[in-house]
Amino acid sequence: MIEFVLSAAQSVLMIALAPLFAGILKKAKARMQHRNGSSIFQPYRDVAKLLRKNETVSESSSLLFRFIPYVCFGSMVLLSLMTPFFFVDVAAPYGDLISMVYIFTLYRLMMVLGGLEGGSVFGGMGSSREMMMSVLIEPSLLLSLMALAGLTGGSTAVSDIPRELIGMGVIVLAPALVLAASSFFITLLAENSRVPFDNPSTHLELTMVHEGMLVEYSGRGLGLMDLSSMMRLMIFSSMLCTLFFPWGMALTASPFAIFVGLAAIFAKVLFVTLAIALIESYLAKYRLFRLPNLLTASFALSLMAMISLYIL
Amino acid sequence: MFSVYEELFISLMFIPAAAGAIVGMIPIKCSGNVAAFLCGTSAFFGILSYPLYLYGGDIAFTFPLPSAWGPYSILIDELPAMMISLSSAVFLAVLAHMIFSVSVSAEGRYSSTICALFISCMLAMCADTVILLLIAWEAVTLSTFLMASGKNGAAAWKFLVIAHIGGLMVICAFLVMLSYSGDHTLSSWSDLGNAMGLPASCGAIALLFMGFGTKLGLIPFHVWIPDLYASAPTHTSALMSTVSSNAAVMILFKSIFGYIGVSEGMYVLAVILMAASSFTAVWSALESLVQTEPKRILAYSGMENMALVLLCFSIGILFSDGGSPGLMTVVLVAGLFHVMNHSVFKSLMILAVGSAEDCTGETAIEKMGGLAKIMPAFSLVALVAVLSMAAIPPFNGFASEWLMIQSMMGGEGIHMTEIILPLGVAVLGISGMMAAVSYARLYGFMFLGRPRSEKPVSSKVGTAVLVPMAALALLCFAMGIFCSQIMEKLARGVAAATSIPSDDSFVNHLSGTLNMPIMAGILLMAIFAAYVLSRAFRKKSARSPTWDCGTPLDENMQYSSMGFSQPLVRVFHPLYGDVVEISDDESSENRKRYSIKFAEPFVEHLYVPIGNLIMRGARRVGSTQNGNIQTYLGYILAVLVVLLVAVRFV
Amino acid sequence: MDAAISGNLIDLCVVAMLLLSMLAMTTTRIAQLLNAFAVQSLFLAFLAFVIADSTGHTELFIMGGITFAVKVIGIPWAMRNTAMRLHAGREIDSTMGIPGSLLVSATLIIVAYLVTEPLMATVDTIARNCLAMSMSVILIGLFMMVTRRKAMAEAVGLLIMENGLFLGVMSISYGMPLVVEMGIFFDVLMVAVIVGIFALRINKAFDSIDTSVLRRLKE
Repeated sequence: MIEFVLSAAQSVLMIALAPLFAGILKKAKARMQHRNGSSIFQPYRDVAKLLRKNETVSESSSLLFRFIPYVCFGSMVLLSLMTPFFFVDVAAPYGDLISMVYIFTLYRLMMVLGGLEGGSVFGGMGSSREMMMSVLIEPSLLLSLMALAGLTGGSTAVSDIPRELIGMGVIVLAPALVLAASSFFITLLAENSRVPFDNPSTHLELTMVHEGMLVEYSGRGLGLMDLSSMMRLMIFSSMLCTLFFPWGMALTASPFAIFVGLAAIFAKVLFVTLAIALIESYLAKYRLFRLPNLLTASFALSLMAMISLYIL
Repeated sequence: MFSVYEELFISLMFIPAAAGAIVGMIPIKCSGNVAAFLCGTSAFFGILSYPLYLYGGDIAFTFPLPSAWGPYSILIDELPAMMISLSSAVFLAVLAHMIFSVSVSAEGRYSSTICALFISCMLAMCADTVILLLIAWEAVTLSTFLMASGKNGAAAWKFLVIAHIGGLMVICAFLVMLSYSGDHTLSSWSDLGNAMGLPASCGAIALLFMGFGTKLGLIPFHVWIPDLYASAPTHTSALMSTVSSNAAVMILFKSIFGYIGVSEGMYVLAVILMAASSFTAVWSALESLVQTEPKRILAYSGMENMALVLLCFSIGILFSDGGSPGLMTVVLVAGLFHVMNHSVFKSLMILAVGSAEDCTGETAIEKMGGLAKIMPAFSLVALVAVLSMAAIPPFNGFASEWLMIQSMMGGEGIHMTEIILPLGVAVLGISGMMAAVSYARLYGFMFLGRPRSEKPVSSKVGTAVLVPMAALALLCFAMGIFCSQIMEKLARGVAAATSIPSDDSFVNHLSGTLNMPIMAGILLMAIFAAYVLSRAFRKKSARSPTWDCGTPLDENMQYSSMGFSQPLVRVFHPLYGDVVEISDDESSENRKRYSIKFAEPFVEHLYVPIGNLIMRGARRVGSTQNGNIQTYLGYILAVLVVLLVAVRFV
Repeated sequence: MDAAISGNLIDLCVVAMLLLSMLAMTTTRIAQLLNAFAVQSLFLAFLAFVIADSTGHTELFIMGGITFAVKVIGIPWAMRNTAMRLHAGREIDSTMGIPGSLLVSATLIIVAYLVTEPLMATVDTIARNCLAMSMSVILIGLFMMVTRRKAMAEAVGLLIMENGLFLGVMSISYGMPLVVEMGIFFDVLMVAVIVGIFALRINKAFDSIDTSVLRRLKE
C-alpha cells in the first residue's frame, strides 16, 4: 500500500515539478548569455495565466482541434504514471518501455494533426518537419531501449530495469549502457525540440518546428500544450536518470531511502537540465538537412550499444 | 448428434452465397442487391464459426462431390475458425457499405463475383484436401480479377499474370509436398520436412513464400498493387486487401509451420526471407509517402503491413533454428494477430476513402481537404482507422506491433540471432513510423485544413453507410482492448496447428506486460479530467480566421501534400530516383512548369528488360512462321525424320 | 586492480576507439580528423597500460609509451604542420554523405562481428573481446581510404587501420616482439613523413591534393 502511495506521489511530483525545471533551464540559459533572465517560477505563472484566458480557435478547424490539447495532456499524465522518479515502483505498471515509445508517438501524431488543422502554412511546415525527424528518431529510440533491456536480461518492464541495474553493481558501467544513454540523450534533444534540432524560443518562420505546430493555439489550449511539452521534457529526463543511471533511487519505502532518492533524482535531473542549457548556449540550431547526420549518429550509437552488448 | 448442426452450419454458410452467385447472373434490375444480400446472409453465418468452434470443437465436413483426386473435405479448427469469423465480419461490413452506398449501383455480375470470392476465400482458409485448396486458391485469383476488371483493364491483367506466376509456385510447392506425403488429406500432414530433407523443404518454403508473396505484395512482385487499387472499385480493393490476404497468410502459415515444419539448419533461408520482407516494408513505406492518390497510399500501406507479417514468419523460422519454441509461438501470434487487425482497419480505411471520393468526386489528395468540418462523424470514424493503422494505443494496430517488438526483444539471448533481431526492430521502427507519417498525411490532407477546391463536397455520407464503418471502428477499438485474450486464443491455435510443444502459458515468454483495458482507462480518464478541469475555469471560446500574416488565404495557400513529405523525400533521396521535368507552360509565355516524377525502378530495371527479352525471343520464333505452305511441310518432314531417328536409336 | 574494473576499462577504451573511428568518418575538417586520430591513439596507449598492469606483460608499457609519443603527439603534430603549409587542405571531400558512411560503417561492424565470432572462442586472453572491435576499426579505416579524396585523409585512414591492427595484436597475444613493433612504428612514421612530402609535391604539381586528380597521370 505504502509503495502505491509513494509511486502515485512521485507521479504527482513529476507533473508539479515539470514547469520548475523548464524555468531552471531558461534561467540557466539566460545566465550563460549574461542576461538576468526571468524567475525560475515564471513557467507556472505563464501556464496559469494561459489556462485562465479565453480560447480563440480557427474557423476552419474541426472539433478534433479542440480536443488535441486534452489528448496530449492526458497521454503525458499516463506516461508520468508509468515513469519512475525517485522511487523504483511505478503507479501504473500496465505497459512497458515499448508502449511508452508508442504513447510518445500518440502525442506527436496528435500534435502533427493539430498543426494541419486550420490550414495555416506554419502549421503544415512544422508538422512536416516534425514528421521527418520522428521517422529518424524512432529506430534509435527503440534500439537504445532494446539495448537497455538486453543489458538487464531482457526485461522491458519499467520498474525491473532500475532494480536490475543497481543489483549488477559496477560491472554494469559497460560500454553498452554508456552508448545507449548517449543515443537516448540525442533522441531526448530531438524529441523535445531542443537546439540543435529546433529552437524552442524562436518564432521565426524559417526555423520553427514545434512552435510552428502550436501557432494556432491560444488560451487554454496553448496552456495545456505548453504544460504537456514541459512534462515531456521532464519525463524524458527522468527516464534518462532512472532507467539508464538509477543509482540513488529508493528501492524500499524507508524514510532514509526516500530522502536519498529525492536528493539523487533532483541532482540528476538538474544535471541533465544544465547540460541541455549548456548545449543550447554553445550550439547553433542546425540546418534542417544537416539533422539526419546527427540522427544517424544516434542510430549508429544505439546499434553499437546493441553490438557491444554481445561482443564485450 | 452434433454432426447435424455441422451440416446445417456449413449449408447456411455456403448455400446462400452460392445461390447469390447464380441470382447475380440473372439480368434483372434488382439481382445485384439480392445477390449481395444473400452473400451477406452467408457472411453473417460465417461469423458464427468461432463461437460454434468454442462450443462444439472442430467442424469437419466432406462435400458429396465425385473426384479423381480424393474427396473435397473441409476442417475448421481453432485458427481457421477465428479467421473465418473475422473475415466474415469484414465481408458483412463491406457488403452493407456496398448495398447502402448511393453512388454504387450493385450490378448483378459484380455481386455474383463477390459471392464467388466469399465462397472461395472461406474454402481456401479451411480446405482439408490438396485439390480443394488449390482450386479454391485459383478461384480467389479469378474472382478478384473479375471484380477488378472495371475501368482499367491493364491493371487487372497485370494482376492476373503475376498472380498466376505465384499460383504456379504454390502448386509446385504443394505437389512436392504431396509427393513426399502421399496423402491427400492436409490435416494428416505434419513435419513433412523430416521426410523431405533440408534442401527440399527449404525450397518448398521459399516457393510458398514467393507464391503467396505475389498476392501480398512482396517486392518485386508488387507492381500490380498500386495500379489495381487505384482503378478497381472501392469494395474490390477493400475485400482484396483484407479477406484474400487473410486467406493467403493463413495457408502460408499452415503450410510452412504445420505441414512442412521448420527445423534447425534453416538459418540462411530465414535471413534471406527476413531481408526480402524488411526491404519490402521499408520500400513500400517510402513509396507511400510520395503518392498523390489516397488509394495508392493505402495500396502501399497494405504492402507494408503484409511485409511485417512476412517478417514475423521469417523470424519464426529463425527462432526455431535457435531452438526456442516459446518465442516462436509469440512471433507467430504477433504475425497472425497483425493480419487480423490489418483486415479490420484497412477495410475501414478503404471504405472511408471510397466514401470520401464519392462525396467529393475527386481522386487526388491535393483537391480534398476540410472534410472533418463538414462531416464530423464520418471523420471521427476515419480517424479511428488512421490511429489504428499508425499503431497508436489503445487501438488494435498497436497491440500487434507491440507484440512483434516484444518478441524480437525477447530473442536477444539466442545464439546468432542477436545481431539480426536489432535490425528487425530498426526496420519495424522506421517503416512503422514512416507509415504513420503517410497516414497522418492522408488524414491531414483529406479531412483537416481548409478545402482545396471551390465546392468541397457534392453529397454527404449517409447514416446508413456510416453504420458498417462505425461497426468496424468499434471492432478496431475492441480488438485493441481485448488484445491479451485474443493473443492467448491465437497462441492456443498456433500450438495446435504447428505441433510446437507448448509446455507453459504464452504470457511467460513475454518480457513485459501490457494491460490494455487499464491503460486505455487511465488515458481516457486523464483526458476527461483535463477537459472537465479546464472547463471549470471559463467557458467562452471565440472563432476567428486562421492567422494569415495579413494576407487573406485562398484555397491554394496552404501546405500541399507533396510539400509535406518533401523533407523525408530529400533525406531518402538516393532511394527515390526522382526525375524533375521542366516544360514550357502552354498558357502563358516565359513560364515553366516543374513536375517531379518518381521512377519505378522495379518496372524499369526488371520487368521491362524481361519483357524485351521475351519479345525478342518471340520475334525470333516468329521469323520461322513465314506463312509459306512449303516451309511448314518442311518442318513436318524435319520433325518426322528426327522422331524416326530417335525411335530407332533410343 | 580489480579484474572486473580493468575489464570494464578495457571495454570502455576499445569502444571509445571504435567510436572515434566512426567520428573520424563524420568529420569534414582535417584538423578534427587529426584530433580524432590523436585521441584514438591516446585510448590505444591507455589500453596498453591497462592490459600491461592487469596481466603483468611489462613490455606493453614500452609499447604504450611509444604509441603515446609517436601517434598522440608526433604524427598529428607533423601532419598538422603539413596541412598548415598547404593552406588549401582545410576541408575533406568525401564521395559519400555522412549518414551513408555511418550506415556503411555500422554494417562493417556487424560483418566484423560475424567474421570474428567463431575466432573469439579460441583465444584465451583478457582482451579477446576486442578482436571484433579491432577488425571493425581496420575495416572502417580502409573504408575511409576508399571514400576520402584528399591525400591527407587517406593517410589518416591508413593510420587508423594501423591502430586497429595494434589493437587486434594486443587482444590476441599481448603484443608482438619488441623489434617488430619498433619496425612498425618506424614504418608509420615514414608514412606520415612521406605523405607530408608527397602532399606538398602533389599540391605543387596539380594545385590540389585531391588524389582523384592523379588519374591525369595516366595519359
